[in-house]
Amino acid sequence: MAVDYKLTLGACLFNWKVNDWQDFYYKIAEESPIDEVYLGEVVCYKRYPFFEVAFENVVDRLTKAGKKVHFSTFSLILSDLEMNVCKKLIEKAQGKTLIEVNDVGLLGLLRGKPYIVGPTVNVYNEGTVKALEEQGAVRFCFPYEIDRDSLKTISAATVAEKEIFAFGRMPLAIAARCYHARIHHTSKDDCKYVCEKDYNGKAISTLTDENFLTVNGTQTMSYTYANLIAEIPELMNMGVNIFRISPHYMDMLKVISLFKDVCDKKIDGAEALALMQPLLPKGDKFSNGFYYGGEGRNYEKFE
Amino acid sequence: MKKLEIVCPAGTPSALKTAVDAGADTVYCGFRNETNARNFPGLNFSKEELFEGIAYAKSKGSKVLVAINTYPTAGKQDIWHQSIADAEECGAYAAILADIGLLDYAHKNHPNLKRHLSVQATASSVEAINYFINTYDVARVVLPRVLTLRQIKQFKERSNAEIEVFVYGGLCVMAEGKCSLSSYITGKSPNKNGVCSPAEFVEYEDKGRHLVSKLNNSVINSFRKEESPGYPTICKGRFNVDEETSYLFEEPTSLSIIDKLPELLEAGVSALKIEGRQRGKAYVESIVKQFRAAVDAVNAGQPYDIPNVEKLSEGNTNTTGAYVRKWL
Repeated sequence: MAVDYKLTLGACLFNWKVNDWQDFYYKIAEESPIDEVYLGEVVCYKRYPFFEVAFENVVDRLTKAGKKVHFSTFSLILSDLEMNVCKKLIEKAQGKTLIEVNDVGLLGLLRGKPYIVGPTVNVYNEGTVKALEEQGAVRFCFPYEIDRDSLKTISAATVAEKEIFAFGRMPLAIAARCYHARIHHTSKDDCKYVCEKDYNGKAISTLTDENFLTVNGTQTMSYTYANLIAEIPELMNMGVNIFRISPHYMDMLKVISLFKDVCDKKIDGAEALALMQPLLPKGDKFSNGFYYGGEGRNYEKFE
Repeated sequence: MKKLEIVCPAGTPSALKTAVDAGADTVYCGFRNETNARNFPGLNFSKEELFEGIAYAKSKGSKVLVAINTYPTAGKQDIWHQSIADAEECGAYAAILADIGLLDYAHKNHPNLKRHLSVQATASSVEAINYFINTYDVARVVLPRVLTLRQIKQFKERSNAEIEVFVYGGLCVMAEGKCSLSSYITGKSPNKNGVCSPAEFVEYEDKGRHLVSKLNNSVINSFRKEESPGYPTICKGRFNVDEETSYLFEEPTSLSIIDKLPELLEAGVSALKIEGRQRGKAYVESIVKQFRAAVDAVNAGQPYDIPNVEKLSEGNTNTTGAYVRKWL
């Protein structure tokens, strides 16, 4: 029996150089079993012009390879600079490509049209799902900190497609201030694009050298890599059957193929985790604590 | 000529009285449960206390707003719905809401209770503001502390929204309503539980020359004897990046733009919010009186002496935050 699920690739959250960015997506197009790809800048408007030049090529290549493309938008819209990029994307989408809304500023512009609600729009309950479904939402990717009990309740009440962030460092906070710039003793306006040096973000630790968080421009991310691969069977039972994998600078093709193997029931979660662990930089860890209602940084053993 | 209104915090019934007596135009407070974003032990109001508090405020010509501004838990929305009914029954001037589902519910079921948009909803663009006005008929929008004064002025030029901004008190460095740092470390978050870096996870360790603050066993800061030890909120901690130790996100400091009141009036801002429902009566009395005097002068078109509010601030220092662009 064919299992009904989709694997999606989230928008690349890091500031990769345009050639690396393009090569990565070409590889995804040609060599990965990913079903759908989110494309666009989510963190900082200053990064957008660099890969805008490669955007069309990447969309073409992905589409020709049979991948469905969605356009992602900023997770914090503060100025016309950001809003105008979003408006251009909405125009480019022409109703054929779906927009992933990551800031409530786009809800009015897209009202009555189909759109995807991204993880930084706060959808914590069935009342919000219902209100947004009436306004056009056709898919929800739920917040990073959503727990299993909430997901069960919400899923039962959701007609739209249900997606979960299943792999990668979690964007825990977004600010107007740029911390990458602060690390380099400069400001956002004069940042010299220092974030482009850190392809998986810049790790920060506590005063006792405990790995703690990761800085990615104006975004503050988890140090741990969220990983819900072992929870896939339970999520599928709830009707959450779209699994989002967030691009990092590591063997993503292997990560994706392990997700596919678990979805296809070729291997189980424990086996997949053991095979995935060596792909992380040495000493780095997975986490699934939010899912079990606790500290997001923990990895809880499943029953 | 429009006048600035001051919106003051009340974590307890006696703080509400204090704020009203000190000259607050408006007081905001919340119920003693997870429906409000200051769900701290020993704080907040029962329904009876709110009823009495509102009666007192009304007798002195002040308004009361009720913050029901966390995101309802799936399957438990009834608690939030009940809080809205209770706020209306007690005679609240408005409810301060963040969740879209809850705004939708209140708009349909309690149309006579005014709706203000909470800072936790992160309405940071004119398009966001207009969405909430057009869809849920919100009467006022509280802006997140991520905008410059210039951006706020542009909003007013392109929207009919009544705008409320934070002018003083504890500062969220991250965009409000979009921060899960606290739950990443403790499991409890502002959005879900109405708490940030909650006290039950806080520990101080005396190491002789240093006092170390921890949150759920992770070191957030270390203070020398001469430093005043701050609360271990994650975004106000000291961290290591490569070989360097710094206040990477922000120092322990409070927001103050008490020196910018005429510019706020000129930008079309309607109301000034003072943070601090977790603070005591002495704080409320002092800060409200100082703002009352300053705002009365500004409303009358007069100059005013900028009061020294640092001693009420975290770390005894202030910042203008994102209101002045160089902070970014």
